Amino acid sequence: MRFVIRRFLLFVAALLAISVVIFAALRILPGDVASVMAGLNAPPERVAQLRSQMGLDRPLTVQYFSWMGGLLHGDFGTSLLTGRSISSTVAMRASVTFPLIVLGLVVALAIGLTLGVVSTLSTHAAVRSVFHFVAIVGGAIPALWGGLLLILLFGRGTGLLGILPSQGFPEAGWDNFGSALTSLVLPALTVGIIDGASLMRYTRSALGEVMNSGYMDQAMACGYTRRQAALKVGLRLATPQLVSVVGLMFAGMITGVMVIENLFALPGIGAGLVTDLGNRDLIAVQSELFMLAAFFLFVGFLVDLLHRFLDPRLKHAVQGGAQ
Amino acid sequence: MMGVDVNKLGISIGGKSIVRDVNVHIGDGERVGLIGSSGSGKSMISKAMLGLLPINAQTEGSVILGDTQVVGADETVLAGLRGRYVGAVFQNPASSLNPVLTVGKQIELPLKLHYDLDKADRQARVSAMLEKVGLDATVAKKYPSELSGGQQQRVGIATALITSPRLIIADEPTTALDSITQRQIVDLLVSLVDKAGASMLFITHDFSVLARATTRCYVLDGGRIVESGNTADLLEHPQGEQTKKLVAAARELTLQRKQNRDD
Repeated sequence: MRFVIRRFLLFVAALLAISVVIFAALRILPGDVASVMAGLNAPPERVAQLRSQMGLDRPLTVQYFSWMGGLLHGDFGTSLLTGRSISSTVAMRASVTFPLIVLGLVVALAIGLTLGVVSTLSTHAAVRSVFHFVAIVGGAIPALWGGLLLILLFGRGTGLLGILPSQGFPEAGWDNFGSALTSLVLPALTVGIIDGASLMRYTRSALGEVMNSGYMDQAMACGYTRRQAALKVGLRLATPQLVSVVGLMFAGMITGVMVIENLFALPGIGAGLVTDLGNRDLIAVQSELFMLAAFFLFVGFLVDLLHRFLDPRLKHAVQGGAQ
Repeated sequence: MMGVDVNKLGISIGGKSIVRDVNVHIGDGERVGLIGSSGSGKSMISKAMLGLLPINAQTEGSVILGDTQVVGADETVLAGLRGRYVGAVFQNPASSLNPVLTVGKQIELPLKLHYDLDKADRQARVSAMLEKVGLDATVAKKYPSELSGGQQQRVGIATALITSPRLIIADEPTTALDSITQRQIVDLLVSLVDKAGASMLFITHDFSVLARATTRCYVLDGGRIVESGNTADLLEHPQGEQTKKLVAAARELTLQRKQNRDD
């Protein structure tokens, strides 16, 4: 329990640190939303007036604590440009991005784990070489090119088979469940196939390492066949390593899908962030960046807890020391 | 009872010969040693006997356990032998005992895989086995990482002996331990094997350990058997160069241990 509390406090400390970095970095950027709104040729008085209206002329510490105070109450602030609540805009975008990365992760896990295990257990050197080649090529495909290829094959209207939507997300969102789900299939496949190929290499490496260890000899000496030992003991022992990789992959996907969202015209977090940054919508950008960082750190926090749960050696290694 | 006959065993990996023309015989209830320096091929022979050679290893000759030919045998046949008729104790329990299984589940595994016993029966046998190897029954709930090296090796021995196998293959079971624990572990293994009437192949590079554990031994050098005979005789009158070196090293080690104890 002490470990969980300690890790949670570290998570909170990291969040605070990142909030300062995000806030400061955006203040260093040249130009702000007032100059964008006032236009290129606006007199400085007009820009100053807008800055004052938006509270951008207040001392930085006041701006920071007012922003953090809002975050603590779940209020991400109001977009300086559109006047809309940032929380509701982010929630709308997240309703596209999160299902996309979860689906992408499911595809990546299905491909990566299955092929990784099959190729590690294969007794034929030729089969292992083919899988190795597929993993290298698959992992090297640029997301943009891979997505275009899938659109050309399956995209409705333009593709050879023309069976899946390749552009946009329904206006009604998840109220139109079938349409929302099908519009995420091609983007999720693009993310999943590429990350799945990388995951396959990690699975081969992690499982391969365990397969050559004394743990496997011991398991087989008890009466398991090589295949049983790999599936019942090897995979379990490779799990902590794979959890780290999958955690990082999942956290990275939230910004990694930016290109995919643009390619498939999905109104997600990544695509929205690019728009808001272009508009110098400081409050929106800093809240969105903070949310992304919080997600990234939270996944790291969960991975740490899972590791501890999955590998009893970690618990005993620090017993008596700083726990 | 289960005797072992290894005839003209040859093992090569990636075209490189590791073991050549090895003949080893272990009679029923006999404790036989296999001694050699690091890299002489000792562990490969034990792996060949257990059917645990790497998948890219090429084997020739024969290894007969009881009436089963191990070389080239189907994986399910080998799995049926391992843990039931043949038990194995490995060199470093910290890197062979499953780190995510409790000690109780670890020792219980061969019973689970080979016998149709209910849980209570299995647990009773595990508790009795823990007592036999000198461990408290509460250890069953602990993970290997919570135990000392000596305790871990006792768990390794309990796992190997829980099904009362006819043959024990002990591959350098004391190498990772300090000298006092080494002696305790060897004595424990010998007494349990003798009580069970099982045969044992004891692999080591240390003659002083071998003398306590076996009555007869084979000396391995460069993948070949270079000398064999009564362990005590070989220790007293080594003939070959390799045997002389191993005996000299054992004497040096024994003197060093004695000196350490005197200090």
